[in-house]
Amino acid sequence: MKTFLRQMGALVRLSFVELWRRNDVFGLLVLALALMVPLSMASPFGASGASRYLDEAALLLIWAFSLFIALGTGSRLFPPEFESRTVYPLLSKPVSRGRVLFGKYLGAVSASWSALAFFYVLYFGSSLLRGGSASSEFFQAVALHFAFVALAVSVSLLGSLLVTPSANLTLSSIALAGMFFFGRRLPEYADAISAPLAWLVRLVYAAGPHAEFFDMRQRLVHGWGAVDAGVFAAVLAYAAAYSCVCLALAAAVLKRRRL
Amino acid sequence: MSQSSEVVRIEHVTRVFGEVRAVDDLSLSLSEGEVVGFLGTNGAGKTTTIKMLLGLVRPTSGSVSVFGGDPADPATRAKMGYMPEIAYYYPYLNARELLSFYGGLCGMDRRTIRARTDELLETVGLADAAKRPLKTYSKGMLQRAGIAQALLSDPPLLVLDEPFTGLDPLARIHFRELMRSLRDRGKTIFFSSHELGETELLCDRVAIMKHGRCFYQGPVRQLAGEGERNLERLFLDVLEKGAVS
Amino acid sequence: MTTGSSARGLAPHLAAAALGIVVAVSLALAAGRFGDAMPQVATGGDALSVAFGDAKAAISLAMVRKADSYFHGGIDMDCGDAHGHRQGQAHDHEGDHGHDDDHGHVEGDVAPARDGCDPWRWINARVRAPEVHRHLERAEAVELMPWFWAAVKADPHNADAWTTAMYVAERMLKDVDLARRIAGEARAKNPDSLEIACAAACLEYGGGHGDVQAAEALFERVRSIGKAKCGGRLGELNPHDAEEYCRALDYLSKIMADRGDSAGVQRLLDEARSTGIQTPVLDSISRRLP
Repeated sequence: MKTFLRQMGALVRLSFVELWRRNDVFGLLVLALALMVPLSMASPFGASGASRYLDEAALLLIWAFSLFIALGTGSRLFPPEFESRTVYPLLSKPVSRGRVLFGKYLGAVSASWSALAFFYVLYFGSSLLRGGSASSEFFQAVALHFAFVALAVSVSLLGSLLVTPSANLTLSSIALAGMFFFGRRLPEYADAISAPLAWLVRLVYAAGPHAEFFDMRQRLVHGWGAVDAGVFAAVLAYAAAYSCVCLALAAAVLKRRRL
Repeated sequence: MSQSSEVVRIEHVTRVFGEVRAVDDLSLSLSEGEVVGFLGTNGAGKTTTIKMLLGLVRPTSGSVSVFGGDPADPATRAKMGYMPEIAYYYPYLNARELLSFYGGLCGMDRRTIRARTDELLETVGLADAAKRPLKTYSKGMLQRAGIAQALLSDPPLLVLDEPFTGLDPLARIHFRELMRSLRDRGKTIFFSSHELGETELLCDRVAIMKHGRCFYQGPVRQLAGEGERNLERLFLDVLEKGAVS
Repeated sequence: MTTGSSARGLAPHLAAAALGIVVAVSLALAAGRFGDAMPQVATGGDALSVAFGDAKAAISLAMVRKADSYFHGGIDMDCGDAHGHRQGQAHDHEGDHGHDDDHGHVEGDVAPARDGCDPWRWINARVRAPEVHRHLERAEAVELMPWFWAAVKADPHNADAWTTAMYVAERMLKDVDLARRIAGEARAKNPDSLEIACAAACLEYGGGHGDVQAAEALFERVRSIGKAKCGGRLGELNPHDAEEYCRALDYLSKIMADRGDSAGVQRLLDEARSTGIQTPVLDSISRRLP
């Protein structure tokens, strides 16, 4: 157990250090400030007091950034190891491929979560300054967002072992962002089109990563309240199950990967 | 030679990749405390053999055992230290963090990692550059970092792939002295190299590969005792004629 | 020696930078001189027009839809999210400017299931629904303004966005000055829009309690814009413009009727009939005749 924890700790620290030293997060922070500061200072038609649009814009940015960080971190777990040949000293250590995969996954998730927490702390702080308060739906929304990030990293990790890095980023982004915006409309679309394509759309709907389950932005912006505990648990379970499937497939691919 | 002092046993190992027989019916053994050089031209099968020794690649036929165990088993690999030929280590880490990372993977505790890191950075001459990111390192410095990570857990068996690549003459001398001191401490060292001179100075035995087959295995000293037939001559004979007695 | 070496090393970079500046300046000058010859360049437009072209209209429509969803408490009416409707809840429909009460009222706490196999039905039905169908309270209506503002920034000719913003300012926020500012800006950017001119005039009229003289002038302005658009042949006005034209005539007839000018009211009725559209306005004007 001690050995396992030490190995996981080493792998997690690796991803953490890389994410924060790459300065991606700080670049995104600057971008967020460049977008949000002028937006917050805008006075639409000279009317003051509107704030929900700021919440909506901020939450959309946080989601976009989290997707960027999760997919970027996940996609960089293995390809650089193969390109720089560090996979050989890595796998020559007394650690199995499965543990390496799981440790790297944990590292990418932890690193992505730390960045996400950073953005949510800023958001929460700005919300408090505007007179907001902590609510159960806020914590629920954050928890679900964290779960989504774990799912996104697993998708990106699997992709990194199957296709080239650029193809992985493109496909993962399309899959996750597409489901985020259009996922719940896919059945309607399938009903409106003819057979072969309709089945494909239904397959995507059934098997694709349903990012829209985790999106609680409208609940936060409009004060709809928290979702039922059962639904909350079900969505978390979905994230866990989907991530496990992706990791299992990734482990199978890595096991067969010729070194 | 007793079975109990045998560290590595490679028995009739063949590895095929598609149409290519990268390693063809290789048999080789290493005894405890030996330094064995592994020579051959590019594409001779040296790296594939090393990968099978590390459990990274499975033989198509035959068997590989290290300390009596399967090298694919992490417990067996705990007794090995491996230095790759070329590795561009994690650019955002520094040397100290690199060794801390590998130490963690070996299951070492923090205190031990810290002590070994200080010692090894001094040994390989990277103490002054320990806090610089690895992306600023020269090829020779990366090679020395590679040596340090291979020695980190103080393993009884060292597997080194082209350890002299990128080292300047002074670094080579230091490295040769380091290898000698490790051998004197009872370590078993198996390394591949293109540097015949260094190999001749260090090794007890050599194995020479060509087209996946081992055409010679024997002590270096015996060769030197046969008059003009030094290691360079021997190597050329293998390349030209194949098997050499 | 070192300095010379440094200068030689920098020379290619300086040359490349200088070339880049020359190219950029040349392109800018060429665009200014020959811009009108390039049909795809939107001359006189702002940065958004140049960047987005026709997409700005789509963006503007999306912003208005967003405002609509905000009005409905975040529910996107187009997506059919409005599944829940609690019995007995009193709706304040004062704020339903152009708002059809056809939300698809469905009883119960869960969205209706679709026909066919949906493996995610259970989660989908509960993650979004049941969203209570509600409208924004008066004071909260300020939350709509950024979206209308964004809509008119994207497309300054989106009359629906301008007029709805005026309505929200006047009726929901009870801020007539704000509504007037919006109206002024809208008219400045859309001098030929019947809809905007009519809405501005209605604002001034204020249900008969505002500046009637100013309102009358604005309603007359609607008439002149309409006549200019069709060259005096009112039957050739498009249906939408004809509706707005008749609406202006309706208000003018009210003003004239209050003054006792029956002949004026009759002229307005004849004018309305000459547009050729069937509209309740005709009955409204007729009722003002003695």
